[in-house]
Amino acid sequence: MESEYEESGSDSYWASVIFGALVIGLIMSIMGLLSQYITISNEPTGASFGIGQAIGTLACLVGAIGGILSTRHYANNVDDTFTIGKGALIGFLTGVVGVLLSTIVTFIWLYIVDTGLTQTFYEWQIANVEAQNLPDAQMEMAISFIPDPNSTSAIMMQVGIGLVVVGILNAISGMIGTKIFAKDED
Amino acid sequence: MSIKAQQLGMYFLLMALSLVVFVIALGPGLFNSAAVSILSWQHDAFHLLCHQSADRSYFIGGVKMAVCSRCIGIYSAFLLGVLIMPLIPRFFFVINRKILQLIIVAIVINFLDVLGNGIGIWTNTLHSRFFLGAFFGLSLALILTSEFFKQINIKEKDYGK
Repeated sequence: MESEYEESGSDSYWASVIFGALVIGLIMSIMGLLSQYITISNEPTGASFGIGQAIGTLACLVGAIGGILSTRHYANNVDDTFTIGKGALIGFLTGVVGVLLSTIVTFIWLYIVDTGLTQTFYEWQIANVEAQNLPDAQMEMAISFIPDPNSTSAIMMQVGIGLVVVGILNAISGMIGTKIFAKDED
Repeated sequence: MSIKAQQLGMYFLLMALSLVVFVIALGPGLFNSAAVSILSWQHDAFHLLCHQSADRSYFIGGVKMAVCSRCIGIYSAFLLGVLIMPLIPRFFFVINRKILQLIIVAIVINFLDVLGNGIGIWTNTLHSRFFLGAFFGLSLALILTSEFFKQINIKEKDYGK
């Protein structure tokens, strides 16, 4: 008897994609926002790597394992004999949807819940650069490198490129997940 | 014993993707784009994946790479592992269970390195972070070896002829 998953064809992997994307998307958003709150709660000392950034780093580990999470879900709940190509596709889609979810959650937080956070964080970064006591020319250059929070095009550019790279990395982690969780057909 | 190559299309896709990620991770310095050092699209590409802290990153041509030293270790060693994948089964007997254990060991060592450095037990360096990252990246590539290049016992292959 054919399973309900087989009947639904290519749609059958979307539950796994959504599962993996929800996990990485929410964690990337929460860790990213938490990192900003912790950063601005401390005095800018000029240090380039603090607790806030360290927490942000943990989010990076999560961002690349979406493919492993979703292929595990697929192997456990749908079909455990899928190809590495399908695993790559599931991983890629997980990365893309995960970044979109993360962007939406972050936007909702920054534009509805706490509208002042972006500007406060921007000002904190400038104060932190000023605390480094750099020569004027270097300081101006360093400040010019801090992304302007009011530039929508800069944000969209970041999200667009992030989609591609996180998608590729999750495609690779999807291949690895397939190797770990799927059974060989022969 | 001989080597059977399979799913070569997927193997070359993996190679291309790994190469693309590695080249982007090297940052704008690779192309002498010093003027856009931090606002480059390469840095944008990894802003969700790496802290990109200057004092924890290598520089090319005076420009910070798009990822930290640990991450560039992961990406470069993974690419190296993918490139040498056809040779690995000629010299080693690939056992996936053992490689999985190797991956877990690599994760634990990297985690302990971050923890030990964070609470001040030791101070890691650019190079130590690079090599620990490389250990993880290489072990990730190794687990895919048997998917593309299988070791076949000739006697078994010829069985029934």
